[in-house]
Amino acid sequence: MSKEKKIVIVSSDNEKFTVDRKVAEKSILIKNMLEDLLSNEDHNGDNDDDNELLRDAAAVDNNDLDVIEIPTPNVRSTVLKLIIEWCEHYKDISFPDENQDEDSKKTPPIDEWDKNFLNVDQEMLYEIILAANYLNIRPLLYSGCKMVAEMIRGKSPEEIRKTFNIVNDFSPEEEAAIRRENEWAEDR
Amino acid sequence: MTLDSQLQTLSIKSDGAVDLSKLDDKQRRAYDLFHQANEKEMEGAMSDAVELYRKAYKLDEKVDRWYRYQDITKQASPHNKNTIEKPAVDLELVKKINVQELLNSFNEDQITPEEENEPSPLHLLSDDLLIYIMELLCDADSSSWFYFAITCKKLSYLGFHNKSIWEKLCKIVYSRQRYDEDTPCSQDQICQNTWKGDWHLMLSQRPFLKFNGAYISIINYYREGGRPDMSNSWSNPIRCVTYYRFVRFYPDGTCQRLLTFLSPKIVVPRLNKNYHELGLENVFRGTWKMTMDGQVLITGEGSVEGYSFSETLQIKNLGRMKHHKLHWISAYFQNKDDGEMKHFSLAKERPFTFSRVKSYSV
Repeated sequence: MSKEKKIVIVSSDNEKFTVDRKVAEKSILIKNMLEDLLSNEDHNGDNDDDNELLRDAAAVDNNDLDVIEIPTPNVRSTVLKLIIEWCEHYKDISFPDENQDEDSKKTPPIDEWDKNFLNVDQEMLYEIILAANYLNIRPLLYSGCKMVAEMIRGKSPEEIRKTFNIVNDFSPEEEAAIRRENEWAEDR
Repeated sequence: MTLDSQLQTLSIKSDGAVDLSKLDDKQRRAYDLFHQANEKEMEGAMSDAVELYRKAYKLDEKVDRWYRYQDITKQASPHNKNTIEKPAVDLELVKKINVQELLNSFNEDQITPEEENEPSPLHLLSDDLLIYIMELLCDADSSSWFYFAITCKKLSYLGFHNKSIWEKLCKIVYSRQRYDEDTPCSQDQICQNTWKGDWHLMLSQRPFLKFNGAYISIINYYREGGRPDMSNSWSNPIRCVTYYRFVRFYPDGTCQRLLTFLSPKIVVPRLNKNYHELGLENVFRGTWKMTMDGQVLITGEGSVEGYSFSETLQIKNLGRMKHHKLHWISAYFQNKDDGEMKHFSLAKERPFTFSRVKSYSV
């Protein structure tokens, strides 16, 4: 298996970003894709895979054996650029696998570098979250959602509505009934 | 005196507010005393409250009226950012609402933006991501998830109706409890076996201790005092005595207990691991564990050395507030050397009620 291959990630608006495999593999989606692809190659591609992305990527691969192109059809180039910057920063850090059984554990505070990195306007923050979700980059998804959670924390419902442009669409009675029914669960 | 002139002397403005700056010295003192009395009453210190009320009325017999005016207008003042003008709520209607059905009816709702041209930025995020953010909020502190979910129909559907939030809450809550015997089952099994996989039902029925506040028991009792010499009163004076019991539990299985005359306002901010530096005394350490059905056993040091002091309490609901009260079952002490054990009378004891304290982060 060749490790020297260059990976080219293509944004929705067709901008191409060339990265090391190590960087690209911060995305579990891409990592799995590459593993499938390269093992297919080892087995002379006899594996019939109907993953559309995989086929796209493989097609390019056949044309030029040293470059693998990976399209990300719902990530804009400005967002993708940031995502890759994040992956570059963490390329030598391996994140522990998520352990589903330990979800009772307290989540760690957000990393300082991530905090600065994600200090962008709301719209960009959500686009990064969506891209991280799509590309399956859990640590970045976690940091992004944590940023949103931090925007919510310590605010009253009214302040939250203002921050996120939300209309209170309850009738007063509905709101009171829902409060009454659930407020006990606030204390723990 | 005409009504008009009466109003003049009370210096009540046309909108019913009292202009405090126009009060004379005596009225001002009466007002302050009434305010203190009100605070004492809220703390349950009845004797002090009565005393202060009496003093206030002696200075000015109408003190209650303009105190209340002032109080109402203060609450409605726009300077207080926590009080937003709320439309009137029909309580009868509220009681008739089936909340689960109501929440279920929101499943198609979307977040409606305040500024019509701009959608709420949250609309970009999928339900899964919004739920994930709520789960992070559950981890972060106790109220944020609630405040976020109560903002609109869609978020209340995700935050209160969705099973995964209740599962998350259960896992946070029950992993912090300390049981007297090891539970061999996982939370998932317990929920499956007893609550048919309904996490919401489990959280509301399976007792747990809360750590983001203190349990406080207020005890008022009356004692007949002696008549002073030369008194020509018909009856002996009656003294109302108020004292408090505080218990704060920690998830590490320890707890702190305090019996005191000091009011919650003084004790609560100081009842932590640094209580000594903060000026509290006679805070006794103990350890706690509980049974699956919510019987809590506390054991630890107490007012006499060489003895261990124990209390058994039962977690109960306080109306709609689940698991919010601790009822007494027994209290006893034991000689550490010979094991001799004696029970205390519970005749005067009152149940503990939970109060949330912001500074008690878990």
